[in-house]
Amino acid sequence: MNDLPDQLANGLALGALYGLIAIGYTMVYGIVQLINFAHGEIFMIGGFGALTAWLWLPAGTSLTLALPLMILLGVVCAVLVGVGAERFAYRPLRGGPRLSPLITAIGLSLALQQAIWAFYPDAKKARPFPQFEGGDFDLGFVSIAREDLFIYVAALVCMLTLGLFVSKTRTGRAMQATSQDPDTAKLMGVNTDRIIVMAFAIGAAFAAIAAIAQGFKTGEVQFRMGFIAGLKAFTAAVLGGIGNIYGAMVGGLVLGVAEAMAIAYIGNVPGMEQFGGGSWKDVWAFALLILVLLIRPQGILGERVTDRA
Amino acid sequence: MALLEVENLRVAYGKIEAVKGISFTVEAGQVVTLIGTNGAGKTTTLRTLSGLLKPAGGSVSFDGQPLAGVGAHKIVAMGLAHSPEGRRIFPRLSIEENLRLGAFLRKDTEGIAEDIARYYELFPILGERRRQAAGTLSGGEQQMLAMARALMSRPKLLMLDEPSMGLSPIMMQKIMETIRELKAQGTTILLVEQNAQAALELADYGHVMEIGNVVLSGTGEELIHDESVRKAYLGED
Repeated sequence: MNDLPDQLANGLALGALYGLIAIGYTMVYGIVQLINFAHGEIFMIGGFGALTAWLWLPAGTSLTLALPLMILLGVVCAVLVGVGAERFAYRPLRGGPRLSPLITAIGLSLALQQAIWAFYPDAKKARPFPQFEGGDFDLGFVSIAREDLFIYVAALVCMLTLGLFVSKTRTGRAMQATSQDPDTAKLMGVNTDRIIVMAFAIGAAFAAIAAIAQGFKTGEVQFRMGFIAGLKAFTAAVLGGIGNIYGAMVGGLVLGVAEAMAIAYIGNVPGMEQFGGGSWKDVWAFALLILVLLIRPQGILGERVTDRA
Repeated sequence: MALLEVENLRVAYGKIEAVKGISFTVEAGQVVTLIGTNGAGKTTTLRTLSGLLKPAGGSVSFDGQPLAGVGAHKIVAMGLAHSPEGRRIFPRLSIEENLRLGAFLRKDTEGIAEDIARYYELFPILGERRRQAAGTLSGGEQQMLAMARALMSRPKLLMLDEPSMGLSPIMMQKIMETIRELKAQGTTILLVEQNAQAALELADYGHVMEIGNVVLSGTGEELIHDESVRKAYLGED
């Protein structure tokens, strides 16, 4: 029996999820050179926002009908927290030593986790997330898990929209200009503060959508879910070349597929039996990161950083 | 009232004062140049005028309005364009995208298209390579792009910082010719140059800066014949 197509589909879904979160790391880094370590928590808050919308709706509402509202509330919550973090935590530190915002980000990450733990009803343990009913879609050569369909569509729509926005619109060009040379972008009349806020907002919105996808996949949301997902997405962003939005998605997909392959096949390699299965997947993911950084430090799609004249 | 009036402007990096109280004016239609060695404070002056640096003291008014506390992106909107030192084109955007960013605050789509066509005519190489990433251009071509990009905002005052820096003599001559042409069309220019000879030849008025102060002012003609200027900046014994 050949289960390679299924494993690939599985890995691509996981990778698309990582990629969507990674966009947030990479956009913020591309513009303000900050690794927003609270991004995993913004992702988590998006998940809880969506759950809140679901709980508001009368019991028995169909999930398909509820989904738009869940996306809306999840995105709104995540964007508010993301933009608030930029405005009140990071912006006052801009221009200061680069370590300060980094430490602030780590502190913010803990604070947001603890806030959900303490104030969201029953969030001290995982809260169940609604599930789609019905089985997998069997396409003959490959079967697609019903809950993965959401992430495929969401990732595709998000990436196409972002790609068009960045390359075709006036604001998108201003965003590229700001990431390449913020001072000169100001000389063109670009309000770079606004561009920075937009980068945080877009990243937060994509993270919220990824959190909903993860909720469907795992059947729960919990206050710590942002930690490992954030770490993986950060890995994906670096893998793809940090600062490059397409790199973030490519890095996510590579990472997801590599994880799925490792889980499925490494145990079959003679002598490696004990390294197969799900418990080693994180080890393989980070091993891949180290390998890529050794061979191609700028990441898969990253460009060598050259000094400005 | 002059277009640009700089009064006792002081700029500091931390405790180090890079500009120590300079005053000068630029009248509409004039070309005014600041000359002087490295570290004299010329670039700092321009960066302060365009709002990238905050002054430590003094006052600047442009077109009758004070510039104190106005953000860089709003100063462009008032009509002051700055083509920075080192050209600073956006290397991974195409030439055309660079030009469009120069017109970022303009809404007149037709006027923007006309201006782009005009600068492609003035600098044919830019037109030929319009879809190419700007980072692939040579230094001189990048300088042309940087100047055209600054002009895309249709500024009342164009500030050029070291346009001839690092260029071959032929390219340098070409850039200077272009500036002369812009002047003939009535563009008001504040020019910072290390090539004092070339700058003074085309300037109506010049100021010599030394370690943060203006030490000598006069018409281009006067300065070019001034003995101390000849000794210090024009390489004569």
